[in-house]
Amino acid sequence: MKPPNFEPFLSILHLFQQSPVPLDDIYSSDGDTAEIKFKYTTPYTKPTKEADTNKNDAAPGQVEKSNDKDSTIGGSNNDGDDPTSPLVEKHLEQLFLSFYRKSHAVDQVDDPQPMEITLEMTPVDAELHRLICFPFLSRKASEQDDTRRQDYFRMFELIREDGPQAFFQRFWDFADRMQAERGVLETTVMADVIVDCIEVFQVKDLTSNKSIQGDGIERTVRHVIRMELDVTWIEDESADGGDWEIGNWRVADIDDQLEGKSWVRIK
Amino acid sequence: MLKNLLFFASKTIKCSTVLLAWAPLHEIITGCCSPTNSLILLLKMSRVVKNAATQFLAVRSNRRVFHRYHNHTALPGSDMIRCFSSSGTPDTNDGGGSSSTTSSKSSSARSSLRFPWRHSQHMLPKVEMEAARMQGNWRGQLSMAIWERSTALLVKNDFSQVLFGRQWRQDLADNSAWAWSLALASLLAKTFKGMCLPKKLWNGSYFRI
Repeated sequence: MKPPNFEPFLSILHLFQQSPVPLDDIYSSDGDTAEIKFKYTTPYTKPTKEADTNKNDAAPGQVEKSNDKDSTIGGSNNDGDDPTSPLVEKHLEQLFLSFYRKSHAVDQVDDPQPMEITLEMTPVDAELHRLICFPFLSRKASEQDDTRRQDYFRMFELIREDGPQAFFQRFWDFADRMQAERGVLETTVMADVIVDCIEVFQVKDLTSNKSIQGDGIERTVRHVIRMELDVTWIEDESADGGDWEIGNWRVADIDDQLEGKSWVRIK
Repeated sequence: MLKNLLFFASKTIKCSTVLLAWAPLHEIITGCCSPTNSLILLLKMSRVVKNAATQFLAVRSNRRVFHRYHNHTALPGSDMIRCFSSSGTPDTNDGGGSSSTTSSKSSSARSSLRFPWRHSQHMLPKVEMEAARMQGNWRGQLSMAIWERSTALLVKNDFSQVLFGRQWRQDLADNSAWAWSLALASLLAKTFKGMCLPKKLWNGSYFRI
């Protein structure tokens, strides 16, 4: 049984329900296993000047469906300022969006590169690699004011120099500061999970018909995914002073794609 | 008056509990932890994250009492220190790198255009390096294990399962893999506008994982 904090993942159901596109294009599941089948071809036509100037109007993409009923799904939402998905961290989302924009020449005046992306994936095994937390520091707080993050990790770096007393003094001072500045105490939990997948992946340049990434051969691959969760301390005198309120799990990174851009680097 | 005394006594006891819980970690780090103490240590450490917050709020008005114990409190292990680094620089700009605006730049950008996906049978090198570093480092392993279990309790796993079982780890991994595949599907669907839903999702069988 899934813990309740995975519930937000179910909330995207309503998005699917509103979709005019036939089902089973990308994702399927038989209850125990899940499968992603994604095939996408970037447009061949050179975007018009209007398309170049209006960067929010992307060239339409075409999804090839298994039932051979192709449909054009245009008007991709790629303004970059779109409210982030509750499931995926915005930096990761932007990474994919960046690829989309470049492959559709949204930000360029040159021809778009015609290519075909094939991704078929079935997770078959998973293993927890690491589970850690950062007491009293959250991603939100860090993004709001970067000095918080710097001060926090500096505390740990100074342990050897200053000793435990100074560390704890700083630690509680930091908690005081967070409580004063944000009004709440938050802690971010990170889980790194190794997922084995049976996968087919290929990005093919349709001009030269050469493979740019992958080879289209099915093999078992290993992915390392990072999940994040915020927990917030809720004061409640009737319940032992309070308790942690569990937030929502979200995908923060895949295979270290955001290395160097992550809010915290774990060595 | 009696009420105040009782309140003070309860806070003091709580505070001591937390400090006792932190203290053994120091033993681990300094290498003075005997194997026979390990179980007791884990038991004590299990609620430390929750209690730390409780006690922080409870005793911050009475810090002098708390600070008396600081010499006996624990420090994160060297591996934890190494684990935390401030060198990561958040970038709120384009997650895939800066975008080109000129023709010459766009040509080079196109040649380096890369779908953000890793397709390899091998483990991520960073993870392998980390595993190699931890091999034989029992203090580091124990320190990380305690940190892991404290975090597991923070996210409200069952106390006994966390201490004595490993099923919670598998459950978390399975749920994460499930959530990831759904998130990835939604990410691809959102980015490339291919909104799709498996029929199986409607009849509820999907949610049994």
